Amino acid sequence: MGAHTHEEGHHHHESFITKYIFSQDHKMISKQFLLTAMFMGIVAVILSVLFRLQIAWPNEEFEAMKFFLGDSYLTSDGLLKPDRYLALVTIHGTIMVFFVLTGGLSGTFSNLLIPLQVGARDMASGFLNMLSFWLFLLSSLIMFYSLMVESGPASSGWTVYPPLSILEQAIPGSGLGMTLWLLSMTLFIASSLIGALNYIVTIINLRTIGMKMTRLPLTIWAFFVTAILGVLSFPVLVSAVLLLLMDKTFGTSFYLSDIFIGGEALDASGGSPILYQHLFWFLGHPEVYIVLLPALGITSEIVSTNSRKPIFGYRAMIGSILAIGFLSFIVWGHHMFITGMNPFIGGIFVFTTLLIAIPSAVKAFNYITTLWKGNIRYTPAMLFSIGLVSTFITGGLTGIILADATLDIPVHDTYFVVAHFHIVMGLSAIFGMFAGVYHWFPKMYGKMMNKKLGYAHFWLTLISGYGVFFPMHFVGLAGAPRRYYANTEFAFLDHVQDLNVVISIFAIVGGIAQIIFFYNFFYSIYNGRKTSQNPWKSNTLEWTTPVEMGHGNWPGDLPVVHRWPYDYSNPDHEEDFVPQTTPLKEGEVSH
Amino acid sequence: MKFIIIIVIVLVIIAAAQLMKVYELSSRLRNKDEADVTPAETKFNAGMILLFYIALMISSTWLFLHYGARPGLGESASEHGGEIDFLYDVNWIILIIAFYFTQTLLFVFAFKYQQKKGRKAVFFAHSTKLELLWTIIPAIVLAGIIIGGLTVWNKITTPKEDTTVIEIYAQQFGWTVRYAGEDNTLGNSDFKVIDESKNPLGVVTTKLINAREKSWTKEIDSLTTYIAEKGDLTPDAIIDEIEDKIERLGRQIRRLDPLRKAQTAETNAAATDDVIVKELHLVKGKDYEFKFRSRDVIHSALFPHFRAQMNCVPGMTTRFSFKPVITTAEMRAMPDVQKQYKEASEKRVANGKEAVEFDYLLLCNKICGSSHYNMQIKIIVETQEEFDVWYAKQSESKTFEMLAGLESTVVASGSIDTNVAAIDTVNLITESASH
Repeated sequence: MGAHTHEEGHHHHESFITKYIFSQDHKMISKQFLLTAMFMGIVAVILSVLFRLQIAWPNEEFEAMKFFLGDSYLTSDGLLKPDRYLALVTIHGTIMVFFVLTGGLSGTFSNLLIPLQVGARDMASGFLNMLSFWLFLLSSLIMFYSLMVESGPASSGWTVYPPLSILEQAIPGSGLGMTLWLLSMTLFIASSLIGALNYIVTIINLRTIGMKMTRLPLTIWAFFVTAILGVLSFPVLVSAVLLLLMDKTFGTSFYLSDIFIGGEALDASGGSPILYQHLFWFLGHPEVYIVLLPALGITSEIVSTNSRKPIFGYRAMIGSILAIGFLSFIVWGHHMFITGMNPFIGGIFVFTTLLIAIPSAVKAFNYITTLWKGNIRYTPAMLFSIGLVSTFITGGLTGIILADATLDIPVHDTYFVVAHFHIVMGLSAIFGMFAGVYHWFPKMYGKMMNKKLGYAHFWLTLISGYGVFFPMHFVGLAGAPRRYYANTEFAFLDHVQDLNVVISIFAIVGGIAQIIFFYNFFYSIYNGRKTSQNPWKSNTLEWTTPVEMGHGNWPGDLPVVHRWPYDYSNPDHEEDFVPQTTPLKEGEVSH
Repeated sequence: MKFIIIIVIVLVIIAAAQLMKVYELSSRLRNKDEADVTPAETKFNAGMILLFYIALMISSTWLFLHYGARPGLGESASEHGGEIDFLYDVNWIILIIAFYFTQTLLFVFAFKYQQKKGRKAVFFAHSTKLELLWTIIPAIVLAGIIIGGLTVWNKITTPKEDTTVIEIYAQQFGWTVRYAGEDNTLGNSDFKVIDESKNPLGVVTTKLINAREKSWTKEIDSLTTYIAEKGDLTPDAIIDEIEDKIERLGRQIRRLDPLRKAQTAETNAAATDDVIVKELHLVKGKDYEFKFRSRDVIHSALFPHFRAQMNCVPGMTTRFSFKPVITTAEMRAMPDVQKQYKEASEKRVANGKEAVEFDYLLLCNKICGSSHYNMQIKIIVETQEEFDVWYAKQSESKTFEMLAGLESTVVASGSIDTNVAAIDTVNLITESASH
């Protein structure tokens, strides 16, 4: 601990290239991650609005499709091609899950906050950190480029189940587009692994004097467990992806067997498509928490700071994070209840999955109790955090239905699932990310974001978020399968087509509302008001650095920590916050 | 349209910029810190929190009441589906209570404890009692949910006796149904003997294997002859392709051996009475075991009205059993169903489409390609008498042997077809090479 305390701050001059492009400063890398994720986020939101147009008004032409997608995505009548519709949902899902909510969320906030909140001058390895970003950027660009491939991008859903994802005869997107997808994901996983190792090492080794594990802010605990989940699960995905690539390119048959397509019987035999699903979901389920935990960590910090109250049940919160992290590895089978797996194994997965609801419930109630008798300051970050708690509860509850194999049978792979995971991991995680940006923007850019625009952004996003995904449950309950180009072929789905129209309208409003955020973000970088050193009157270490900080974070010695991070409204103190660097008073007991 | 979108976006940005400027100037005049939330802002957001909470409660209640747990699907048409529906109702009650309770706490606290000048928050960092409370209560409720769920799960998945076996076969983008015939046993099947027109399901009999081998040998012969006679005049690339084809056919022939060895008199007999059709007819009150196969990619057989679903995975056979309890005619007579389909028909006719009536459907629920959204067949549930009439008609013309062209003289003409096919192949290869 505190290995760097004797070092002077790094004040050497840096050239433009080492400062802004090939930077090894965690703060700059964090901004690079954020900007890349924002770009990918815009792409994914546009894709989603476009396919929502198709779902709500399946037989209509839209200029917007032509404008954004070009003629290669459209039929001669100007309608979206069915296989390109699948491409849109596939790339939307991939970008959102991996590039925005994994790379973007962890990359931005783990990078920004880990060194600052544990009291380190930088990540354990600045070089690896830089490498992690460049691999992320490269993989993002490849994924983006794949949208422009002539035969279309990957089109077999974000889970890219074989054989569909392997056989070009089955869908054109499984040609070059799929190869690029696999290449991009391999680079992405490398980036995630390098990043995660760095986060773990930094948290374990580079904590400053006095920063015991039980004095870490919950953000750091969340990033820590997230990184461990990533290190344990992403290698499994990379092997799944590489085997898929070999089946596709070198004629192996890990996932293929007994296939007759395009008028001929393929040679492949002995493989199993279900093997891929096991490997994929062994990552896929922890991935949900890789997305969610950082958002929950950010929320813990923001809810406590802005309620001016200690987070309720600090140790229980750590315990829940650990329990969720552990359980997330033994629940993957609930994605596969109807693949024909042994019903007994299915029963076990029902049990383990429903267990996760307990630590999740603890977290939700602890957030609510933190609000109780607080003095709540409605900053945009705080509002997004409250929104997160709301969506976390709503989405978590429908998870109970899907975790139950019996109840899963009729709604598996319907819009009910889409609604569930978009609320619990889509909305929650993105709310966490927005909250983080509003809260730590002063730390990143030394400026404040505009609050009024923040409020407009929050309320429009919350209302449209619920407007899109709450009614969607009923579309799923009506039996509407996901990834349908149009529901017009089924009369029994006419019953919920009105809902689809409502959902699409909210999606358009929600999409447009994001312009407010992007505008506010870039406007504030240049024209925002200068921030003070500790604008939110917060306890954690990042607010003890000067506003303009160089590489090395603290100009003098590293701060020394004397207390836990949640001494808000402590009756022993005059002020309603007590920074972690404040020594204990005589007779005061450390929490 | 494009122009309008751009104009709107530009206008929004300009308007926002102007607003921001005014706001910045005025707050600078008042020397206000951007981090502080003003009383006016607190009031606005508190009001919004309350409004949003009320709107969420009202709209979610309306949705629950208006659409219910099974919008547009009506009563379960299968026996086990009734139990699933009951379980849904119980779970929904628990979840809705939890939803109202927790959202109310959240939004009411968020509203009530809004920032007030001079108020200090209560320092309340933990309480073992409370934390135990919300660990134990969810644990008890979940235990109930797990027990209820697994009881029904075991019932559904336990194999039943005296079931009628039916195969549901999936391919891009359609379903085929195979009835097992009088013996209630499906004949063997294998993807290697699939013949698009005659044996789409790859059903195996010794006769068929022999016929297959004969036709492939013929094809090899004619290709070899082609090379011998016209090889000098043909470009090397095409010769290569033809040689590849010969090799592939040889490999296909060798792969028939294990199949032939596996065939016995019983399995041959089991296959010959199989009936292959494009519509699924079921008898009310009969227990069925469905066996699912797929020839190309993963599909999923979703029977929404029967609360049943199972994936169809290439290379393996999956199973699901259920007993239909309401006939198509009975379902059509139900007032809710009539109302729903009348409305749907009116709308469809108004849009220049055909009127619809209720039918049970089997649809694909696993992404499988461009026509995934329209991969369906009709299911008809009827009485035993009605079924017998229909089935008798099918078994006259659609047994596997007839479709496969193995009855009587058809085998001979089949070999002629194969000759033609071999020549077609050469033509095709030549054509594709010249492009």
